[in-house]
This record gives sequence, C-alpha cells and structure tokens, in this order.
Amino acid sequence: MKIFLKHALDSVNVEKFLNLPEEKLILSLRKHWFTVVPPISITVILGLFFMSISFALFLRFSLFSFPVFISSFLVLLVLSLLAISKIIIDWYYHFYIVSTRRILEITCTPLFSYNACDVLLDQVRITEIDANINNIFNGMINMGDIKMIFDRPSHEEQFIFSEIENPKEIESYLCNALGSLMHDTPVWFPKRKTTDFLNVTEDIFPKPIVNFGR
Amino acid sequence: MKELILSLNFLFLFLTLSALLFSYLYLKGVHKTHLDFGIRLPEKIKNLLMANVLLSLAGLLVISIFLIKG
Repeated sequence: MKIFLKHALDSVNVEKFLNLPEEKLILSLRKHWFTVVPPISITVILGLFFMSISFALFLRFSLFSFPVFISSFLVLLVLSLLAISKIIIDWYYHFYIVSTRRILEITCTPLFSYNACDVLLDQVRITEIDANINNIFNGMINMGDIKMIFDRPSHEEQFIFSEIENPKEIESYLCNALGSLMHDTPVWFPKRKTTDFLNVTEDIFPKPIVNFGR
Repeated sequence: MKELILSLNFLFLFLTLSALLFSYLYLKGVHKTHLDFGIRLPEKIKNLLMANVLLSLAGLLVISIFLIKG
C-alpha cells in the first residue's frame, strides 16, 4: 500500500501552486498513509457483512433465487469499490505545501468540494513549531501532528499539519527552514517600556490619567 | 414471491445504474482536478476507477439479463 500511497508530493506536482514572486518550495506532504486504513477497513467489513447476509439468505431460503444473490453480490462489490476509491482519492488530494512565501493546505474532494487555506508568511510571525505524537500506536507507525503558532496583531492562531509521517524530522526541518525567514519578519508588538500606558486608557483618553505606579 | 424477486432485481438495477453514473462523473471530476492542479493520479488508482466503471457496466448487463429472463 505504501508503494503507491506516497506521503510526499513531487516538486513537479506542486509547481502550479508556487505562483508568488520568488516563491520556492520548502516542503510538500500528504497525511500519513495509515489514515486511509480505518475507513477502508470499515468499508470492507460492511461489504463482507452484507455479502454474508445475502449468502445466508440464499442458503436458508429457497425463494431467494440465484440471480438475486448474484445481483446483490455485484451491487455490493461495486459500491464497496466505489467507496474505497473515493477514500483513496480524497486522501490523495489533501496536502500541505510550505514555501518561502506561504503555507497552504488544499483539501479537494473531486466533484464535491474544494477548500484552500492559505497563510502568507509576510503577514504573520511564527512563534512556535511543535510536534505531537499522541499515543503508543502513533509512535510505532511514526505518525503525529505539527502545530505552527502564529502571532497575529489581534490574536493567536494555529495551523495544524495533522496526522503526518515523521513529525519530529519535519518539525526540525521546518524550524531550520523557517527560522531564517522569520528572522527578518517584524514583531507585531514591540516590548513595552516602563513609561508606556495601558492600551485601553490610551485608546479612550489621549492623555494618561492613571499611571498605575509605573 | 415472484414480485418480490422482481422488485429486488429492479432495486439492484437502479443501484448499479446510480453507481455507474457516479463512477463516470467521479472519473470526470478527478480528470478535471488533475487538469486544475497538475497533480497526476497514480496509474493504480486510475485503474481502480476504470475497474469501477467497467464492473458497474458488467453488473448492469448481468442484472438486465436476469430481469429479461425472469
């Protein structure tokens, strides 16, 4: 399964997304291949369950004719295969791209929906990059999340690369690659001096009325 | 009881027809996504989709034969 469910995209494949000036690819990846295993297993189990019911009905009751059994078998096979291919293709078209100018998450389910989440790196400052491996099983298959925390003027925001392969290596790679980029980015809130006033009073009253002892 | 078998076969025919239509449209949708993004689907996944369409066609044929015979 891992042979054709490649978690990394080829750089040729993501060329269409790198359209900003001087934009270079840092990383492009999909979710871990194991994320498709539970839904496929459920589909296979459900398909086999209904097929066995159909077979049991065929054996138990003579009125349940052979053509009906064959037809039900074919229908279940077609529907199961269709569901499995949809699960794989949905996984295939869900990917993350990190470039020198932005971070992009594309979730595309052909014929149904398209979502693109784009963060321009010159508009934010990345303050943290964290890797999380939550349980023993995820540790065994080396699957986890990477959280990027942005410092925005108004609030803090997270961008999560969820259920990806090799989170530790990717986290250190991203730290190195984005560290130099973030070095030149301005800090939104300069450090407060002791002579500064509270923002609220500053907004309401042009001149300070209370200094709070500072 | 014959009516029950007949109606079951009609239900399966409808389901297979729907599956065929969906597989075909899905294949077209995937092709459009490939053109938009430039991300090629691996041959094995493409073959799986084609197998879906062909299997739906085969199912449609078999169920139709059963219906005509019955």
